Amino acid sequence: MVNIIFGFIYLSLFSSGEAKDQLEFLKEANPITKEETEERFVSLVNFKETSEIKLAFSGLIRFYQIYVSSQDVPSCNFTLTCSRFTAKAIQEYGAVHGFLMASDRLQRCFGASRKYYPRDPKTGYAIDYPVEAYYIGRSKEKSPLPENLCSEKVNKCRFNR
Amino acid sequence: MKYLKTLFVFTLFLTASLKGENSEEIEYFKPENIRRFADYLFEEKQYARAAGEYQRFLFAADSFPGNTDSIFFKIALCYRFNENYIYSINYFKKIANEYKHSFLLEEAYMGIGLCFSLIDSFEESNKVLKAYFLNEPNVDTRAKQLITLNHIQKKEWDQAREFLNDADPNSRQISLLIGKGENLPKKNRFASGMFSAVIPGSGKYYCDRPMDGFHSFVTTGITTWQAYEGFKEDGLHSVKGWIFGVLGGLFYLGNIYGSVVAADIYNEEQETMFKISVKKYLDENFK
Repeated sequence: MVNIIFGFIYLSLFSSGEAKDQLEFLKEANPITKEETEERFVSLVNFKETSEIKLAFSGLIRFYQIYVSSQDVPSCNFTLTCSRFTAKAIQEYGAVHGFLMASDRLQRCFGASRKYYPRDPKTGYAIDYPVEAYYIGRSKEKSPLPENLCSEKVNKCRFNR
Repeated sequence: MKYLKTLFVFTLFLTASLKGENSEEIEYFKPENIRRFADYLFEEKQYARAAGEYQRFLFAADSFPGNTDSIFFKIALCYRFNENYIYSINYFKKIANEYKHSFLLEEAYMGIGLCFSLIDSFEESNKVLKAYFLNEPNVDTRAKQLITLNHIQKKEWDQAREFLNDADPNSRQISLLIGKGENLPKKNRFASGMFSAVIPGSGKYYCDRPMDGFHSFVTTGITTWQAYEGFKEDGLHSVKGWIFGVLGGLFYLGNIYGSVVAADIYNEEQETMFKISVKKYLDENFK
């Protein structure tokens, strides 16, 4: 009996060590730095916002980020996550445009579309154009597409097709 | 021991005498040496520091040396290579305004034209180049090329062709650029939106984003189908029907919105890529 107990203890020690090793390996393979976490879940609610609708929707998105999205692994394909994109779109262009832009973004956020975008070497996520680029009434002169990102994206698309 | 002492004294004497021979100090702040150092920095491509040293040379010299125009020219080049185009233009202008008989005058005007072109002031660039070079009996081919490229960037194709010199060996490359710029592929935002309104996702397919189009079609299709199923089963009181109906509607509208934006982005991407190819040509042939 004692032998069995000691055997279990020995095995548990051994396995915990192995688990620790595995954990270290996982940590090294997937470095999740503090900055990255902050970048993905930064506060989006602008408390100086005077529009109740914008404030309510930003609050809902923040609620989703803290209590829903945090329970799962980061599954969004883009560096500016879809929730952040939506919050920013609502804050800048109002609820109607914001929801339409968010709907478009959700339809672009899937595994196969990832190959059409340049990747962030640090995080491995796809880099999308800034929110302004997807506004229907954008002026090309005031907010043109970022040149570097544009050429990188076009070259990637050409390569993939 | 005595021998060692003699050797020691002799060594001391020898080192002292050698030091005495080489004790001539270098005057680092002498204008000639500042100039030499600036030239060295220029050769080493440390343009920001070189510009500073050339300015220090002008400050250190008692009176402006005879070749001040060439120093101004070097400073202007330093700023241009360092991508400080406004400063560069100012120095080129100094040569153009103050040294009318300088052998660098033509190059200075070319420099002004090129810098204006690099900061996207094509109108200004052409104004300077045309005012100086078109009055000359033999127009510089490079100036003509630059004027052509400015017209290309302003999408003035006919004027660009006017300045294209057939004798110029690069004319074929430039005419290819004109052809490419004239026939840039374009997508109509209205057509894109209409396509997506009829068949969800087809607008994105039209804008060269087939996978996005397919995903839009699937998401809109599935949510709408689920809404239909819900309403079919429980009528207008169906919760499932309303939830999927709202979702489907949002996806459908978002898909139309996204298709219109995709057409705009496609057109702008083509224009940006064309601009990059013209800038690449400028980089390769003028810098």
